[in-house]
Amino acid sequence: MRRATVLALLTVVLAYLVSGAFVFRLLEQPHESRQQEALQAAREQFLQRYRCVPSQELDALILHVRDAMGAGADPTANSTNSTNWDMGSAFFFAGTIITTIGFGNTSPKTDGGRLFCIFYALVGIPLFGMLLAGVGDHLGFSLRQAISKVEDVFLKWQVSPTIVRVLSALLFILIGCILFVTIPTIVFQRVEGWTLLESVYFVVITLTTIGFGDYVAGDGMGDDHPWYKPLVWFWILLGLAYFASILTMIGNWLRVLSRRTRAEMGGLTAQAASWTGNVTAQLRVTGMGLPEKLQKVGTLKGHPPSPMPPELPPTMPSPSPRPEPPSPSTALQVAQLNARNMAASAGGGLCPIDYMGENLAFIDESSDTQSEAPSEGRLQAKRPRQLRRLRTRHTHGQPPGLPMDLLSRTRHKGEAV
Amino acid sequence: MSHLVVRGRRINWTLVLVLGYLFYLLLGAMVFQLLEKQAEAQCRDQFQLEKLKFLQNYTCLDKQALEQFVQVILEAWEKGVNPEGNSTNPSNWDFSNSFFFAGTVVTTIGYGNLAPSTVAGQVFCVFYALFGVPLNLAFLNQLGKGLNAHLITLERWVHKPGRARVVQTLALALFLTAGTLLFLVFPPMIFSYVEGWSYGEGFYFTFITLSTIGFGDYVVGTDPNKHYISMYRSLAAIWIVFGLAWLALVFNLGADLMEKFLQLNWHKPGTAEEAITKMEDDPDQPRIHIPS
Repeated sequence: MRRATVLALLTVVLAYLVSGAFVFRLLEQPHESRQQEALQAAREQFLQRYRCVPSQELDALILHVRDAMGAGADPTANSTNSTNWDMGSAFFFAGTIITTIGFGNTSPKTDGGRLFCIFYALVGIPLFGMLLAGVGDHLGFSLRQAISKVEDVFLKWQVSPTIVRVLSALLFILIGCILFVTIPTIVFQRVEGWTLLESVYFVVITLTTIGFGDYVAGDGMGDDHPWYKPLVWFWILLGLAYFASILTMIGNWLRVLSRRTRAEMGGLTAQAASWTGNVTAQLRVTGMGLPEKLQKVGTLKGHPPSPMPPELPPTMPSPSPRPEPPSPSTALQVAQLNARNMAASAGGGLCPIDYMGENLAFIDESSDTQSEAPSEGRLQAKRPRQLRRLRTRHTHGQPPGLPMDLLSRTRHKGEAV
Repeated sequence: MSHLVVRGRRINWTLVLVLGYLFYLLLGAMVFQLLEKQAEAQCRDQFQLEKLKFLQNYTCLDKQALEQFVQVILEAWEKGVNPEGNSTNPSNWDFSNSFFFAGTVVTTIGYGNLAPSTVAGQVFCVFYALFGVPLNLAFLNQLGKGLNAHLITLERWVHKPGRARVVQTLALALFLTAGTLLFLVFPPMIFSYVEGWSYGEGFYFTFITLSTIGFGDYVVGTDPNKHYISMYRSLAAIWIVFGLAWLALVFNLGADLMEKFLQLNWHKPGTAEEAITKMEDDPDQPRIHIPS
């Protein structure tokens, strides 16, 4: 995604948030102030006759307090205290909707507000997903660029490539942790007065989009720091991109782990530790278009599938020498994945549902290798790492406006969801 | 689909994933229960004590005392204690509730009506989420593949030669409508019947849950005055999992369409590569894309 596109998207998202903030304020503020007034009246009444408080009166008061809290009013302060629906808070609230964090410390109470919330989320969540994909791409790209420079230095020192890969993964985690976890934690500790654990807890619960709402940054801060909540939102945006890649990496570890276990149980040893290649969690689908791919599948469909053991997991080409080049396995995988679609769509051309199978194929583990030409795959079996890195960089260098590429990147949002 | 070619293996793998997922949820439920139950009981007892004290002193009540009392209620509420009723209220951290809580963590819904308040619970929750969220995603991915495999029949019917594009679009619309009915329209009816909400409130809860926003202002099975059937929350959890897979599919469709729209508008005929890309990839086709 080009920078201009990302910036334009960011602008659109910001405008969307501001408009959402306006509408929510319009819909919610009268209701909220009514609730506050009702609570005040109840308290005054209670104060007038507190000398003879029977138990039922007390329970009634408790009920009032509870209902008020359910409606978002703060019963402890007096009626002049700050509203939950001022501009900054409404903006923040809109942000918690489209990121799907949903703290819940403020939530719409009127029917109009709820209805709007539903449609606001329906449009806003995909929109934010696209933005997140763009930001994540740029973030990952700049981090990777820096890391690949470090990697080159290490490679000159004749360090084993595996160690370099692990080191670079660790470096990626470390830099991200400092930028998006450590610094915000310190800031929250100072500004909010939370303990270290509470700050870390808040950071993780927020960036995983769980968002319990038991701790919310800037809750009840009022007008003291007008820059604080927007800054928090900006941190959430960048941090979400980082956390999405971290969560994907953990998922890949889990997957590789399970794959290894399965392979050992099946007596297979041909495994490639390809997970470090997925640190930036990108499924890259380079240059090859759909018709081309289908053609390739069509030519390969006649081949008998017997030479390959069916249990062989589709991975990146293994560095260990194998009797057969890995490319046929990849091609066969594609063939198997698409055979039914091909058969079904032989006469009718491509139709919407075709893409379902097609895109699922990209999600499969084999997707990393799908785009490689057979000869390249054979080469890679000999010198996998250098080539792979070169190819990765080359891919980054391209202006990526490829729709397929974008699609596979929006996967991030799905994962964040 | 590779799982048809290597049938036995693939099904085993899915089964293992499902079992691992369930086991993870059970483990989380047990640990949360262990860590949180006692603290919660203590907190509730404290609150009852405060209430009794207040009752004893109500003859010499002044404004400050009232403010303090309200503050007490507020704190109790924030810790998940229902201020109504007496100390025989059912625990918020019994097994089924803990299970439901673990589910809201890994799906990232996070209602927040229940949240860990002990140090140990918070630490565990952080790591539980770090590993549970990717696991849940892997599970949803497999589930999405499963849903997709069941669409083959529809696909076959659509792919018959000679069908117009209108018919194909109609079939897609039909599929979306069926999903909407099954996951978004019928469940609110059940919820509004069981919980006593209006249909609008039920629908709001449904949407906020399935989009994983999860405000927590409406949560199923939390009213202490109601008697729910034992499987009610579990059934709700199952509905959440399937609905999540379906809604993710719809969201991705929306993102794709929006992306197409933006690309058509913004992509100037700059490089030849982009033009080729556009030609190769027919932009009129909507895509359904199941996220992992």
